[in-house]
Amino acid sequence: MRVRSNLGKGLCFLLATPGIGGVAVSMNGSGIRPGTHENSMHQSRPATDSRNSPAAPVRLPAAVGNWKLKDQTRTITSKTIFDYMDGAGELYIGYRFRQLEVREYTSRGTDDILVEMYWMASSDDAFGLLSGDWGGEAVSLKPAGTAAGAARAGAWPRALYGAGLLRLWADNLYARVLAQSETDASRKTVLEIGRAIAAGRREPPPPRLALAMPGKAEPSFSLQHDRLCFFRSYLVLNSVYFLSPSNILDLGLEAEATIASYRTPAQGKQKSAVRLLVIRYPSAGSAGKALGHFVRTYLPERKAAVPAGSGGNREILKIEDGWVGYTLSGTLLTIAFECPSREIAGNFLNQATKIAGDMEESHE
Amino acid sequence: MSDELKVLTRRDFVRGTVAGALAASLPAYALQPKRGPRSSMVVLVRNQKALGAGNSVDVAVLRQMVTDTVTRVTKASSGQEAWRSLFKPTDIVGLVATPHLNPTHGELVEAIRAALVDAGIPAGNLRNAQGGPDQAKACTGLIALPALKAHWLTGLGTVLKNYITYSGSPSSYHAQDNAKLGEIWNMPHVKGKTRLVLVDALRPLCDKGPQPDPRYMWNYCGLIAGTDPVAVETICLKIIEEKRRALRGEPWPLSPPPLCVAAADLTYNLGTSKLSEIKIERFGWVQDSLV
Repeated sequence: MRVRSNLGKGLCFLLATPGIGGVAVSMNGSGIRPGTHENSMHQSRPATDSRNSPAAPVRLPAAVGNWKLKDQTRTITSKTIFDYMDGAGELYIGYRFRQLEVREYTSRGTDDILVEMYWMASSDDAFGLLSGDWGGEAVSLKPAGTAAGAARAGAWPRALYGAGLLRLWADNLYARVLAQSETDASRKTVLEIGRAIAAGRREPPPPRLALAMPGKAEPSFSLQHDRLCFFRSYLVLNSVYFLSPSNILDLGLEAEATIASYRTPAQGKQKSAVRLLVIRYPSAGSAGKALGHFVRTYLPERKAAVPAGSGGNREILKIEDGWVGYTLSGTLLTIAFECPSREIAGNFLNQATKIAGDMEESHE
Repeated sequence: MSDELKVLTRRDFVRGTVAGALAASLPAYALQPKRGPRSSMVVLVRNQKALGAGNSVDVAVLRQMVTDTVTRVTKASSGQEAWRSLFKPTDIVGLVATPHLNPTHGELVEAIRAALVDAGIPAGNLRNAQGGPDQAKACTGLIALPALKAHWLTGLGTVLKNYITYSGSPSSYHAQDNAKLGEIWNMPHVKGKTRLVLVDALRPLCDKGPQPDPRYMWNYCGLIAGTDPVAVETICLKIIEEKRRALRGEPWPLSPPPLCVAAADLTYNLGTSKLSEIKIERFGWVQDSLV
């Protein structure tokens, strides 16, 4: 399988100092400084959010199977990400992105393996990137003999593999390891590189907002764990569930949000799932303002019914694709889309607001 | 798109009122005369031998596919005649390929370059014209050569998006402004120059584009071409949508929806986005053509 990437296309990037036999690099947010040689392992440590403990370094092996790590490291910042991936950078900027480190493994006679390590401000942001697509084979990146369950974070895997691409979430790091051609050997190598990336890194739980999503809603709706996405940007929301090309919910990096699908066993695949969206805004004021924006643009028929305040707003109404309900409580806005009845919309709001309320209390 | 304008939402799609909402949300073009009936032809040529082991391109097969495609688009009796009907030897011909992130196969660009030279277009008159507005200004004729892929920001990132850098301000056409992509095709340095749209559908990407994700790539082994960019884009869209449905076994609409396709038709009058107005001429491998 040949997957063409933008490798070697003369793109704008920063170069880490290469060296013969391997040079470790250590990075911070303001630049790159040469590190020290370390037993054929290549090491990097990015800047982290001050709220987090220092990130564990990533030590990439100098060689895996027939593949050898190239000396060159490219470091992509938010200023250069569009040169590296025009049209895709918004995905990462839509989370709290710090920097991207790109490495390559090369092997004579076979295609390269691309390693992209996205350093994010928090574990939540890295989880969010993985949550955009839960497809693929859940794989354990633990050393052999470790219980397979350790590879999961509750209901969600920490690493997914499919057709040559490994995606993983390890603390505040999201990584993509891509074999240009998938073979048995490349799969083993990709997974080995993934183990090196994940080794020694913390395994925080998923974002609280993801964990807070109700597992069930009456009468028999169940959360589809593989259809849950944590995000901050309306662009990411639109890639999961399109609402509007405009930012009608005032989303941004200071907000955090989760959207998930719910289905009943009898519903079948052809009927739309209920979508439950929970957003936490940085303040009650911004939450109230966002609700006002949403109602004005998405539910203009309810415009007059929305008070200016932020406390206790709750409405359920019928629109073209079913019943939609929303409730605002403090900084938390909950919206249920495509509910089959008013009663079910109410059930979703009851569940979500109770759990979200608990979460907010614990937060405060 | 400000709040003073009509804000397009999901509800417009459910209601089937996207056309009106688009017109209201793009006021500069809202007064376009009502669209009349249109008719366009799109040529689909496939050959399952186009890609071999490791997805390597069989250049001989691909060159024959290019000839089959261009002769059907132009109704010419030979490849040389076809290219000559599109370009004069004095033309400066710009080949506008997708440069990276699931790029147009280099073998396809080279096959077209060789065919043009064989048809009598001087090699010195051919240029890689992907880039800023000056690239388009320097050409008297263009061939749009995008690769077929879904795009997480615009739904589809193929024909209409291929000229985004000709705008001189690509970021003005991202996110909520992607519906305006058709506007670029009407810019003075671009308008009327595109003689052929030829999409590389050898190995499309049906989700998570533009970053490569091999789970969503497959060997379609096709070329899709025509002179109506919107009609070609519409057929591309249909193929992507059908592949997504087949992968999941349930409706899996592109998200966000590719607003730029309908807008290119209804707002910018570049061609037709109605399947009922498009005649597809098929040639070659028919299995799983998806359209």
